[in-house]
Amino acid sequence: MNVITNSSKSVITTAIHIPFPQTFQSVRWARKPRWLGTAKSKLFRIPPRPVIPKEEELELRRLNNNYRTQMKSIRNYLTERYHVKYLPSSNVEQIREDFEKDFAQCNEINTKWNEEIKVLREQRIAEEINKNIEEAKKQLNEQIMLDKKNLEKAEEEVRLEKEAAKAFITPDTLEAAIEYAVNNPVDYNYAIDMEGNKIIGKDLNSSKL
Amino acid sequence: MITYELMLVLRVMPKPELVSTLKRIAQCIYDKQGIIRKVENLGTKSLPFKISIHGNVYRDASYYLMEFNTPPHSVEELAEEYNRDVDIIRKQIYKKAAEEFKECTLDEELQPAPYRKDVQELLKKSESLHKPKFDYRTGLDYYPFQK
Repeated sequence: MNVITNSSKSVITTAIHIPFPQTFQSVRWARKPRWLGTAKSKLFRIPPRPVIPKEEELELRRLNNNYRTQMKSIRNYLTERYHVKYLPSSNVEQIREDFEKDFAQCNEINTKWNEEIKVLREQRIAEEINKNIEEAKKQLNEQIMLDKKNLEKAEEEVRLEKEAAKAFITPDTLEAAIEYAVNNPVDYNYAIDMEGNKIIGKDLNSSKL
Repeated sequence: MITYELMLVLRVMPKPELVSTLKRIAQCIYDKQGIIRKVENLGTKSLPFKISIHGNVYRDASYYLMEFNTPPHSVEELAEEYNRDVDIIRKQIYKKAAEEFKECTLDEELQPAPYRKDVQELLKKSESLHKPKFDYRTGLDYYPFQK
């Protein structure tokens, strides 16, 4: 591992050998948080530029050039060997033919499915229409029955009203009705015992009205 | 056609005056193209509290009930008119509710509580609210150790 130190301006090359890695404590973040910004005393400090010796720089560049050249050659070799474009059997016509064949097959399967589904769909729609017609018929019947019932109810109401109309108090009979009412007080404040007898009045001692 | 009930609390009057008051009240209904179905006397009794109205204090009153039909828009006018009548202490116009038929359940109600159907239903309902009890699986109906 190469460590370039600014202060010593020298290169220390050491091979790090860790016999028992579990005995080492990993470095933890022990700085102040990022969002606290630069300290006032360090605000205008200009850190010194790293100075790399000439020989070191040349050596690094040579190594890097070597690395890039080798990587490029490997990449080119693999491309030439495995890329579809350079395959000996690569034939555009063949590929298109294969694709068309595959497409035709898929299309056939799809058409078949569509036909199957069409039968099912038509069956379902027919069933739904039948069901709707039946439901509508049922509703119509119900409505007719309801109308009939309502009419009967109304007729009954009218009949009762007509009957009651005989007892209505007209201006002619008003005087008699008032006379009768004044002379005959009614009391609904009564209780019923087990035999069905009415006990009139708020308490047992109250007189009969 | 809506049937209304007119509940009247009239001041205590001698009979001729009372009759004329009732006639006047009825005439108002006839004037609004109404019909009267029933006039009823619910007796003369003391009011539950003293009422001061039209410059007088009343402690007793005659209670009367009238059933009538009028166009609904005239009900408010009638109420307003009766408000001005000095012989009327209180009045209220109600819509008459349709008579309901209810079956007599006295027999059922007289039974002791656990025999009543509604109580049994309540008990059944409450059972579902009970929390599950821990089962010790000792085969005994009591806990054999000291708790």
